[in-house]
This record gives sequence, C-alpha cells and structure tokens, in this order.
Amino acid sequence: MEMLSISLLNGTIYGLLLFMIAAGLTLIFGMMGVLNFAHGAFYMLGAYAGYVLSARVGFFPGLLVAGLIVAAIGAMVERYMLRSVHAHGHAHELLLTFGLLFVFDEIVKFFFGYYPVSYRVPETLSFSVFRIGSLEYPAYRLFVGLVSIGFFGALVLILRFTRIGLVVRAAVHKPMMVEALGHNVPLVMLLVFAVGAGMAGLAGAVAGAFYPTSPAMASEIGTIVFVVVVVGGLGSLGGAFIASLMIGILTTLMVGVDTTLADTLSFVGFGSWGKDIGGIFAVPLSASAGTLPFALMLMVLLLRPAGLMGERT
Amino acid sequence: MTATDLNIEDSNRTSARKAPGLGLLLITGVTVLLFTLPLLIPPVFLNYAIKMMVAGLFALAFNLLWSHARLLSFGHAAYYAIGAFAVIHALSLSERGVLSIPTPLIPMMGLIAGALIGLVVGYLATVRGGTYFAMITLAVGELLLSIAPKWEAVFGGESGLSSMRMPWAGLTFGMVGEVYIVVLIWCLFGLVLLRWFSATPLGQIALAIGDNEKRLRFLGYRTHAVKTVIFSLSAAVSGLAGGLIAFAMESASFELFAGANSAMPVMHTFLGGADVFLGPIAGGMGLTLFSELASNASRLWLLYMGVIFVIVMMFAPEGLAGFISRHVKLSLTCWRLLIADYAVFLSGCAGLVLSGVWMAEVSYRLMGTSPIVGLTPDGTITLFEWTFSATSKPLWFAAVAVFVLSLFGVLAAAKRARTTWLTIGQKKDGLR
Repeated sequence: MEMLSISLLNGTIYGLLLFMIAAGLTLIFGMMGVLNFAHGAFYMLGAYAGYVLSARVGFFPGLLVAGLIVAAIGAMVERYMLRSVHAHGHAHELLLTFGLLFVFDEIVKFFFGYYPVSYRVPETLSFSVFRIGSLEYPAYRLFVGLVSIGFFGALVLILRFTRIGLVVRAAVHKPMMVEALGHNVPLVMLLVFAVGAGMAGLAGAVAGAFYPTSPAMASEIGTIVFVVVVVGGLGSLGGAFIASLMIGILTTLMVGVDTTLADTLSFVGFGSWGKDIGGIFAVPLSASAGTLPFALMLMVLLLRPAGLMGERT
Repeated sequence: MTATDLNIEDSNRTSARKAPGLGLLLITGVTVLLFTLPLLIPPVFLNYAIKMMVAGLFALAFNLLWSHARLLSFGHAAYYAIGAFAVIHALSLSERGVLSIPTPLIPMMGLIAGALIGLVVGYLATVRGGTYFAMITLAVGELLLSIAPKWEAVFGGESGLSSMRMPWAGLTFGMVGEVYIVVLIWCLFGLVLLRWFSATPLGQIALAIGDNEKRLRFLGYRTHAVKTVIFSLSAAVSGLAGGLIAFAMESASFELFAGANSAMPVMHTFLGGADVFLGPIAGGMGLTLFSELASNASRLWLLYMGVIFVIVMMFAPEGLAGFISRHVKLSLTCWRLLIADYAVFLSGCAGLVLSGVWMAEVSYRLMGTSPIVGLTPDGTITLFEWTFSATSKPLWFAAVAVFVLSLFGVLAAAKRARTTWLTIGQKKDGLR
C-alpha cells in the first residue's frame, strides 16, 4: 500500500513533467503540422544550461535563465531554419528537425563528453518532506511537480482568458483562416515555438538535477513525448495532459510489478507454455516498462487513430 | 493497366525511358569493375566495400517508400535487424546440419523475414499517412528495440548471436573476396528488383499514391493494399541488407535495432538525393566510406554529418545528387557565364570545410571532454602529421579569416549565379 501510494505520486509527478514538455510539442504540431524531432533536444539543452548556470548564478535563477536561453534557441530555429524550409513541404521540415536533434546531441557531446554530468539537487531542497509508512519522500520531487503544475495553470489561463491565447487556439486549428482575419500568424508561430522550447528547456533544467543529465536524455525523453502527443491526439492540449498522466503513472506502476506475463498466463493454464517461449513472457513486467508506452501508442493508433482527444481527419 | 492507361502526366518522378547506349555501356563497365574488385584492392578495403554496398542497398530500400508513396519511415532498423537475425539463425541451422540450403543462398532468409514482418507492420502502419505513419514506424522500431535484449532465445540477449558460414561447392567462404562476391550479387539482385518494381504497373500506382492518394481511391484502387505491398517490399530488401551484413560479420546483436540504424538510411537517402534513383546509393556508399575513413581520423564525424545534413536540408532539399544534376542541366547552355561563380563557390566551400573542421577539431581538444583525443602536455596538437600549438593566435586568426572570407565568397557566388539564371530565363521567355 505504501509502495502503491508512493508510485502513484511519483507517476503523477513524472506525468506532469512529461506534460510540460509535450505541451509545446503538441501546440507546435497544431500550428505548423510538423512534429518537432528536436523537441527532446530542447529538454536536454535546458538540463545542460541549468547545470552550467546553477554553478554560476545560483540554482533558482539558473533554472529561469536556462529556460530563457532555450526559448531563444527555439526562436532562432523557427525563424532562421524551419521557416526557410517551409516552402519545401512538411517532410523536409520533419527531416530538418531530425537533423537538428542529431546536431544538438553532438554539440552537447562536444562540450560535456559522453558521460552524465554531476548536476545535483541544491542543498535547500534535498530533504524529505513527509513519510509514507517507512518511506521518506524527497522534497525535490514535489518541487518538480509544483513547477509543472504552475506552468500548466499559467498555460491554461493564458490560452483560455487572454486575447493572444484566443489567437493561438484559433491558429492551432485553422492557421490560414486566422491569417486571413489579419492576425500575424508567423509571429504567433515564432512565439509558440519559443515558449514551447522554453518550457521543454525549463523542464530539462528542473528534471536534470534529479534524473541523470546525459546526452542520451534527448532521444529518451523525445520518444516518450512523441508517444504522449500521439496518444493524446496531435494538436490537442487536453489530450496531451491526459496522456502524460496516463503514461507517467502506468510506467511508474509497472516498474513495481514483479509478475511475468507467463505468471499471468498460468491463471488460464498456459503458464508453462509462456515460460517455454521465454523472452518477454519470462521477464518480470518491471523490466519491460520501457515497452509499455510504445505498445500503448500502437494500440491507440490502431483503435482510435486520431488519439484520445484528437479531431478525426 | 499501365501508366498511360491511367493518363498520369509524365512528371519528373515517373521514369522516362531513354535509348540504351552510353548508359548500358557504363552499367556494364561498372559491373565488370565491381566483380574484378577483389583482384584489385586489398582485403581491408573489400570489407569497406561490403559495408558501402549494404548501406546503399538499405538506403535504396528505405527510399522505395518515400520516392513512391511519399511515406517517411523512421524505424527501418527493425527490418534490417530482423533480416540479420534470420540469416544468423539460418547459418547456425545449416551449421548444425538441420537445414541444407547452399550457403550463398542464405541471405535470402533475410529477404523473406523482412517481407513477412513488413507485411504485418505495413498493414498496420499504412492505415495512416504523413506524420502518423512516421510515428507508427518509429513506435514499432522502439518497441522491438526494447523487447530484443530481453528475448534471449531469439536475439541472444545483450551479447547477441554468432554463427559460421559453412563451405559449399568447394568454396570455404573463409576469404573476404568470396563473401564480397556473394554480397555483390545479392546487392545487384536487390537493385534490379527495386528498379524493376518501379517499372511495373503496381510501381506506377505506388507513384500515383505519392502524387494524389485521394484521387486514386476515387478511381477504385485499393491504396491501402498497394501501400502494404510496397512497405513489405521495402522491408524485404532492408532485411536482405541486414542479412548481408550478418552474413559478412557472422554475428548479430540487439544493437542492430538501435535508432542509429533507422537514422542512417534517412540521412543517406536525403543527403544523396531522394528523387534520383541512384541518389540513395551514392549517399549510402559515399557516407559509409567517409565514416569508415573519418571515424578513424576524427571523433567529431557525426557532428560534421549532422551539420552537413541540416545545411543540405535548408539549401539543397533535393539532396546532393539532385542538386548537382540540376546544376549540370542548367549550366550546360551557359557555362561560360557561370564558370567563375562556380569556381568561387567551390573554393569557398573547400575553405569553409577546412577552416571549420580545423577550428572544431582544435577546440574539441582544448575542451578536453573526450577521453580519447586531447592535447599533449606541452599544449600542441598533431593533425595529419602537422604539429602546432593549440592556442597559437596567428593560426586561429587565419582560420577565422578563411572561414569568414569563404562564407562571404559562397554567398556572393550563389547570389550572382542566381541572377545570371534569372536573366537567362527571362531572355528565353522573351524569345518565345
């Protein structure tokens, strides 16, 4: 029971973190029709920027500046790279971001090497807030959760109750129409791209102190966030929110499960058959937690291709 | 039903038939050269040649989907790896005497395994096009990558599987030359298969899917079935490519499923040029040769490749082969006007590459992030048998100057050339 409540809490916080990264990605997709492969790289750049800056200007200002720097990088990518490729079609935009992921990855390796850097939780936040049974709960996890909730709230308020939010929401659905109405859609796109990149960067700076900060994090989180966005429905913020929480909680819970698929099969009398097949049937489910998001994504794509909350096209 | 019956307009994507002549002669010459290569070059280079041919074939298989149906797959490593494992299992079965197929035919297993898995995945993946298709293929690739190391019996766990090529008909397959010939024949087979497919009515319908799938569906074609078939063919030839690598290396591990292997055909295809039939082959062979040579010389090879890829995507989205062939066509009529610009452009590119690579390599060593390359204790570097101080101000000044000048030259030459073409184009329009 203690394990379960801790797992649920961890999963929720991980899910909120995923949402912070996925929100920008899904909005960008809605406006541009391009799934930004380099989005995971923004998360990684944020973590490394946070690592460098926190040592110089203090931890909390470092987080903020890291987010701003990544937002600026995102703005440059949109303005000077994606926009000039736009004329060649979506596929080339996708390929460009794919190449950028590669380049950002190598640049990070260039400056920081192949191995994780020691980016740590600051002293002020490395204590345990409460105990559930015999397990202590680290304050930093709650901080990660609070930052994510804060950004989620701010995003919802801006999108729901401001004029610019209205234009963004409209531009996500019908960019051409909004432009015809006289709004500066390219500027809105630039803004959304920068904010999305900045949020991913801030998420990286916050999470990098807790999870390992290494060059591998870009592609790891990148693929999970893709899954979130596709499961939620491309372009749908609400869908992305549900999908983030779902994937965050499910993968965290699964890590705690010790039974194997073969054990499950033995309920219906096929246990030994399952063990004979070996492979995925014989490993504990906890070891195949990495498989789950992709299996989920395939299922969603096949059963409801538009995603949980996506529009049918 | 053929393309003409469908009344498809002859765009530059449909292959125009030219009279055989010079082309045929060239093909024969290259083929003869490829078959006599083991007599001409040392075995080490034959290993490079094997990797190059396989990379070319893999890129070509990937590009079948893009050049025809405009489908971008980001998970082709899956079919490559499955082909490799099929061949390893077939090799070990024939080693134990369970299976008796002639050793040179064993790569066929990769083709068959790829086709079967491609049929299943293709049926599911091609329900949707565009981004969804890219995401499904990516998900399948990641799914298999996460399963493979845990499935010991099939994929050999973390360490992978290895096997031996059995002798057949007096050939031991112990010499790299013999393996090379087998790989070459299979690669040519794959090449001819894909080329032949493009010319079949089915291939032409696949092309039409890329142009306008909705219209094709209105005409009554079952486009989903067509897409499934070309996906399966693409996966089959990818499986053959993977099988050939396994055949040559006599081993396979789950790392074949890694994302890097899915990225390679994408990079090779689009750097080479996706809309020229030989573009992916040129990209695959060229980049593989460079990576084999450069990865020994530089740890930054992947960075250079990424930067080149981004630059090509931004300024020459048709790929290098497409870029070159367009320029050759354009400038044949007016090369006198353009030759100076081309000279400036090319030497500018050379200057950018040289100074850029120099600065990157030297600062990489100054950073000291790599455990392998670094400075000598007295702060000097030896590049290509040239020893110099890494912080020498005159050298850095020269490098930056060359970089800036070259950049300026390239931009100016490109602008001038564009103006020349525009004026020529206007004159031609005026004459009409």
